[in-house]
Amino acid sequence: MDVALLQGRGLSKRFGGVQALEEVDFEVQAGTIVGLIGPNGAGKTTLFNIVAGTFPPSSGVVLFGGRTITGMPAFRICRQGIARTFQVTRPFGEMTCLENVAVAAVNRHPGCPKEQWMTLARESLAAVGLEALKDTAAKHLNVVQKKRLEIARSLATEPTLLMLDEVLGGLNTQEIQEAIGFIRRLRDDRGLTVFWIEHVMGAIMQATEKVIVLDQGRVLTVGPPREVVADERVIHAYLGD
Amino acid sequence: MLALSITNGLVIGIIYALTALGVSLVVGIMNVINFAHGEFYILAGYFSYLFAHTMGLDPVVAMVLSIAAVFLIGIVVEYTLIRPTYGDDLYSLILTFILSIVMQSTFLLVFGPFPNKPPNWVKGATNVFGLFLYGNQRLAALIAGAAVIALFFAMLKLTWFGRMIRATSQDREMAELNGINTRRLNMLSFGMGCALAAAAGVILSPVFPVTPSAGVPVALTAFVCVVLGGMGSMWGCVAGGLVLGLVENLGAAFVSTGYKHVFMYLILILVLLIRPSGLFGRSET
Repeated sequence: MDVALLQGRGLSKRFGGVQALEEVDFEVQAGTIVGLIGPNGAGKTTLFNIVAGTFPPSSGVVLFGGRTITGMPAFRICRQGIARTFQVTRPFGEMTCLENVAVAAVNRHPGCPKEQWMTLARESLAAVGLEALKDTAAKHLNVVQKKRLEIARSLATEPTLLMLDEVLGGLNTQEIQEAIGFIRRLRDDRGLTVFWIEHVMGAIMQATEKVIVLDQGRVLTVGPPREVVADERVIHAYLGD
Repeated sequence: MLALSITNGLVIGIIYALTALGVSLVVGIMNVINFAHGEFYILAGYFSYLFAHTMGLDPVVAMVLSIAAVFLIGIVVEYTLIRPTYGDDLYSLILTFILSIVMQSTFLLVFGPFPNKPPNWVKGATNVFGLFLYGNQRLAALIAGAAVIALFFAMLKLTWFGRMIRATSQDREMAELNGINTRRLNMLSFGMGCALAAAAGVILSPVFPVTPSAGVPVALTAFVCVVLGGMGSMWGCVAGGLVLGLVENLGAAFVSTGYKHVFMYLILILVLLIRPSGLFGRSET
């Protein structure tokens, strides 16, 4: 539990005149669920984008499994075992659910025989309960199904680290409980490490072992969820003066 | 007269569609507008002339070789010229524009200003449904064009490469996050775009001989097809090509050949007025 699967060291990102991240250090231990919270504009999604390789940091390094992945192209980072989902789901709308997932599976194992990809794709769809819709075009899915599809697609890349960006947004209370259960099972059954941006604090309290709080591009505090929500600085950052 | 114009329209329309598919593929995947697209069409025409006429190869072998050669040249062009411009679409626009001028001048230097024509694959004419006599070469062009389009769509629909192309053209960033090597895909799809232009070139050059500057109207028509059909829609491209080919030929037959190009732009303006995103285009939301 002590091994840090993902580490950021002195990560900074500047967009023109805006300092989105400043000297951020963080660690995500293997096999844990780590929450990333903070008010809007705190730099959470920027941090995710840097880890996933959407853009490189202005300075600092990202280590995955002890090796640097800073500045690698996104597809290579994916093949190292990092998958991410988006706040607003982005399925390949014109393709069927199975194709959506299979495209991700293919690229994880470029050399393997076709059957293996399809098996992986079907398993991933089944894991999120979408096997009945495998031949439906992704654009016809509802919001909840699209979120499931996006997770299935991430799973098909066989990640060791799954980065979730506000998966619970737009779900009702019961769906939130199901989703939390599902994410915990991913960790418990598959040994996935989860790095999770979430605004639904109840979920963070229930599911995570550790929470990183960002505010204005800096790490405000790190700790177990119960300590973090009681921290005055955190309350202050969220509510203001 | 009517039946003849429709057949002519179909032949030309299929070739327009084939050329436009190449443009659409490159725009969809790379967001690059290749101004030299018509020159790749002409290049393939010259290649097939060289291989079949000068070297005396079988016309069909010459065609396949020409398409392969243009595919490879396309890959080299992407690697050397287009790749450094990613992130700034304007550079690639200017670069391909320059490339088209350079290629035209090279054609002029090497082959001279005269029309060049590879030999026909087939001779004679067929009586079509007892209506009119039609050149076998044109019929063969129609069939070959339709076959290449069918192959291309089958590739998109059924192969892994095709699925990756579809995924990337729908959401490039997401495709990359799911492990698709978009750089390699760029290179291959630029090559394929050029190969599609080349396919159109080798199919049509026995009917319409190639000259150094003949690629300009070809590319222009291809851009019109893409816009007409809707940016990013492959089926739209085919529909756009067929509509243009038919309208042009019917207009030429029943109104005046002098207004051939007027019809093309008239149709474009009408469609854009009614459906600004093209026949099959997705409206921006």
